[in-house]
Amino acid sequence: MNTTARRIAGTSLAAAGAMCLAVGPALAADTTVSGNLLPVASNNVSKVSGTASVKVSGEMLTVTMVASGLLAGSAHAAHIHFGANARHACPTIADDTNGDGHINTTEGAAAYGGVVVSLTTSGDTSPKSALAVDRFSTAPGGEISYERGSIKVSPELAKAISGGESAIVVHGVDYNKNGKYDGATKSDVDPALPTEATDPALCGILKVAPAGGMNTGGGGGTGGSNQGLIVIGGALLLAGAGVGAFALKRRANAAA
Amino acid sequence: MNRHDHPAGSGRRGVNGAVLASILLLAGGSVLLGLGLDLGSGRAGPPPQPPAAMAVAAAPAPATAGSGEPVHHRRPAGARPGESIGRFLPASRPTRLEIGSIGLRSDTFVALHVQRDGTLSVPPNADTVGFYQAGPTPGQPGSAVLAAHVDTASGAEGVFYRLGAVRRGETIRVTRADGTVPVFTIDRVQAFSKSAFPTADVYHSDLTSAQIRLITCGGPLGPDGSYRNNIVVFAHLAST
Repeated sequence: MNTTARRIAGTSLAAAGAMCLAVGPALAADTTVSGNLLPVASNNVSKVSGTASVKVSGEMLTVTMVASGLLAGSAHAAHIHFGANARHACPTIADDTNGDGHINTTEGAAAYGGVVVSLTTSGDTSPKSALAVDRFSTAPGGEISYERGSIKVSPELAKAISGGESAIVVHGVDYNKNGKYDGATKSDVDPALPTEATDPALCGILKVAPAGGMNTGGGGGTGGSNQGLIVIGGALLLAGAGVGAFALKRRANAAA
Repeated sequence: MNRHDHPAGSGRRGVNGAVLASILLLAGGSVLLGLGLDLGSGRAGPPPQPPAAMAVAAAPAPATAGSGEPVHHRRPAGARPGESIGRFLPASRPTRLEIGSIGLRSDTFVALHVQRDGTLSVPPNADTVGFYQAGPTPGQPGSAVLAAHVDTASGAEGVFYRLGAVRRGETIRVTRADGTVPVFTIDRVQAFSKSAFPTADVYHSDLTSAQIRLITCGGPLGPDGSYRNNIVVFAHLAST
């Protein structure tokens, strides 16, 4: 798509300005952003691990995510978060505004913004499904292996995600290590759920992934670099050939 | 290289000073030319390259065609069916890299980042290993990326000077800040033209296994004096 767009722009130079505006969205090639999912600070989840990758093709997202070390057999809500006024960062203990020692969903949003995509296993992926606990992975064996394509988002959101400003957050923590979501503290986003069910466990900022080769060499290790010796050697060869030719000529003259 | 052997053996009376001078000049020139071409900067030779059979100039076909959906999950090439690769490790930065087969050991790491042109930055010198810190750490799902220089412009060996000499089945040990020591088994070592670098294979690989990528430069020099190829080592987590 990108190549085609460039060709069009190149062959109609007179209209270049207008063309660039017209094909602007098409010029945006696929962008892949990825994030290293880290345990959310102070939420007692030091063993969790994960990596997420989102390919942005125009306004379509393909999300791939693997996470491990989570509470097994319980629904883990997972979302892409973004907020224009958020810090585009994962929360720290400084975000614990209610002082209970943990980061809950509301406190986390100050760092990474609200839900913009719900990473459900089927059906709707909009923020309306943020708490659709029957449509999120239950992490069999503590692991989530998620992939879903054709997730349509707004052009503004696609731009924010491909610009490295969004976060992937996996929720669900078992503070008391009893193998289920429970406890007296209710969720700040759904009073019908314990806070364990909705507190964030893993968070990663989706940054633009690297592309292309690397300049990892100086070139001094190959044979071609030692020009000094080559030049001197070549000069001596030329001189030798010259002197030799002179000598042969003299001998030939003498013989004649 | 001893080109004067034959002429010197023909000790005829007609040999004069000019001929002798020409012989000496030719011999000396040949020796110096040989040194310049063969010995490079006075070291044992150019850095090792992957076997020709594994060196390809073009990138393999993209893993996904058309819409890019669905995403294909692949087992690492070297992993046997049913082989346990262990659980993923939590994030922890690398503190030591060891490849016994080529005598590599490095304790110095520097963070790499994505530059404006989309490529990964490189370490500031040839003595440190770069680590792409926004990506997975070794042992996390997906590919941890480590890169280092093969040499310097003045001919000094870089940390990854011998990287092209590793072979499938050899092991890479990574010590991490949390004390864990994941061991990776090499699946392949391959040279890619920088103009056809397999971005997806190297950076966006399968997340269902923990892998590592080691990158350096190799192949012939281009007109600008930089290497034309990248050498990439692909390995998967074998034990933790």
